[in-house]
Amino acid sequence: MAGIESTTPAGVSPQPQAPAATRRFHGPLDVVLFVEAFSIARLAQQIRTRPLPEVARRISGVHLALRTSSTLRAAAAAARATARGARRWGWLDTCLTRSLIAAGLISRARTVALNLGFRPGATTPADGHAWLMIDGERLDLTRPERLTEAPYTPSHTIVIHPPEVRHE
Amino acid sequence: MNELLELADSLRDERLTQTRLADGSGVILDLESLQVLSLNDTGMFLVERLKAGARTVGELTTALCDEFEVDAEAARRDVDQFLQALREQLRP
Repeated sequence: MAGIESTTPAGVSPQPQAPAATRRFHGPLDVVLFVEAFSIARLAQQIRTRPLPEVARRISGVHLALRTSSTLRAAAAAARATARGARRWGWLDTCLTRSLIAAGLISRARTVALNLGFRPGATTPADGHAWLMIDGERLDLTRPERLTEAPYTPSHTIVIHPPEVRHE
Repeated sequence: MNELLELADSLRDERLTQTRLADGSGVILDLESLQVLSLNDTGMFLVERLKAGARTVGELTTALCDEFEVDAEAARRDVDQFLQALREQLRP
């Protein structure tokens, strides 16, 4: 029989995340990145009420003092910001919110593609995931064990360019 | 307007993406609400036929019978039920 089922919102259901959230700061650069990640994280929480493309646009328009091209630093800052917000204010801490924040940080220096994808779920009909592609490098902000199973089929991509490219 | 045409137009809305997964099932993602509709393989097949231009329940039923091992009566019932469920889920 042809079946259809509405499931939980993609990438919105809470998932325990990578331990990057508890790593120590390694210097002033990490502190500044954390502050900037935090301001973006507040916007990323709007995915509960606003369309994803609009939230991504808003994030790409945030003024940031620092430009980082380090995906690892940006990923750590995103994890810290969402994990702390989740503990204190019940923020969504998912692969999607972390990816949005990291995309906001990295896109000041490099073009970032935010991907949403799905695979058949083990316990649900479909398992959703969000990840970034930066110059051919894939950045997954989730528990590594989630990525050892079947690959995700990309469903939608939002590309965010650095400001100077956007304004050309 | 033909109800199937309306449904096909809804599926072409830019806020909705349809993706076929590795096992033949599929998902419809609403980028505004981030809601996901999960479809089994026959549901995904019908969605693809709708988007490809099927205009009548009869066309969809015939296509379903050609692709899957199902008799015409059961297929017709399935198509009717699926279209009803899809309309309800896609209703703005």
